[in-house]
Amino acid sequence: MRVTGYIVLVLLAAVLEATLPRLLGLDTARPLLVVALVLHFALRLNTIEGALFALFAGFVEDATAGFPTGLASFSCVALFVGARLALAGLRAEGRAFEAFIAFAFAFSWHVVTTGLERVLGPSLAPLADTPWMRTALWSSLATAVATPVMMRAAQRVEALEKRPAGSV
Amino acid sequence: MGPFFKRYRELVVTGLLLVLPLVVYASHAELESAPGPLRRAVVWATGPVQQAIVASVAAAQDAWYGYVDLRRVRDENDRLRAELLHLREGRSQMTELQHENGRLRRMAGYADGIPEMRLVGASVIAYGPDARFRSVRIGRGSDDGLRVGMPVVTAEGVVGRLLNVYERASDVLLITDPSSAVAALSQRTRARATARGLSASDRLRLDYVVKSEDLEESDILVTAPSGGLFPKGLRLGRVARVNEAAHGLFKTAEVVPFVDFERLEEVQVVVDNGPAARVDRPGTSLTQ
Repeated sequence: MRVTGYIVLVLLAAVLEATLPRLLGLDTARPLLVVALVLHFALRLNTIEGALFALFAGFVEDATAGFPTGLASFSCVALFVGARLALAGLRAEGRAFEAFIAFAFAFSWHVVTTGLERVLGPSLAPLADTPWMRTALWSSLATAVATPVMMRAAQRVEALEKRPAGSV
Repeated sequence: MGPFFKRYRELVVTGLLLVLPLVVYASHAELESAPGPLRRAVVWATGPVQQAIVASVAAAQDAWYGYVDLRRVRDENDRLRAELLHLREGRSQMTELQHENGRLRRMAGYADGIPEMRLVGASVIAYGPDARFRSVRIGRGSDDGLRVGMPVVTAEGVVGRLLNVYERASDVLLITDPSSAVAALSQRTRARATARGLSASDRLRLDYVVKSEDLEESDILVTAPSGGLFPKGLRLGRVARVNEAAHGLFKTAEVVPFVDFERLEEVQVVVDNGPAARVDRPGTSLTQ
């Protein structure tokens, strides 16, 4: 039940991430909803299960957003590993903490994808010609705003398993 | 092997999950590679949801703008009446010119240079999430007869070409993507050049314009027949600035596309350039 819940949540987040911001005029300030879920996986799941979900989330993001296959998949797993290492042992909780780490890791996500795309990708445009820094900053800010909401949704899914059978 | 794997299981599995997408990306880095079955499955599952979201938001926006427009409808009505009179007069003149043009063409023995096209209309259902990848997803695919590489246009001009085609959706690589290149022609002087995307903005850059060629600001560019991908004569953009380099054989120019990519909602895919024309939504003039 919980696994199905996470799969549906990832699909929903990826679809909303690819569709809604442009329709609402948030072209640059796109919240990375999938990144918020990867952070939840890093904080709440065991390493192997979390890494598998991170890979799945990245793959879905690749497909829904039109990224070359593997780009967001790698970034999400790398983000999961980074968050796992950086946040190990931290006991801080709350929305402000979630927003802060979301901003930092969303920015890291942009740096990783941009770097990987420069090294292995097909784009020929000089980095100076691309507005990646502005995009990364605004997008990270939007991710910080959206992350607490995504975290609450993910926690509801997580709670599905803990609920005793037969309870409502 | 057993105890070693047991001890380092998390490290080994996480490492493999990290390396796997990297290898896949490195081997499929070219945008042209065909999507695999898993990716097709995800698009198959999410495409209808994306379409539903776009339709819902569009309906809500339509309702809101409908209300706002009602408030301005009286002024608009007066203005449109005046414009209608003006257009009727213009249409009458245009009909005369068309007849005259036909007569002159027949006299000169010209064949019609711009073939009529068969078009399939499609709605934009998703947008690339990053300025580095200028692409959109449309709600038509191979089930509607679309194939990779087909040109995509609007009534304003060229949008791009199909990059990935799924059963019921397709990805369009916009002409503003840095990896896109379109053979262009100045309508005024027939000067030829290559229009490339700039990821920093929704503009194009004209490369390889020979210095001796006559190219000025406000010149209108259309697709050249030599490119192969796009039919000849589709409207591309207007020259905004010409950069004359002190050295070298070529000059460059900046071009503002006719299509407003920020407000792209409906597009047409050119599925056939042949003479047997059948247009989904008649009344749109694509060529000039």
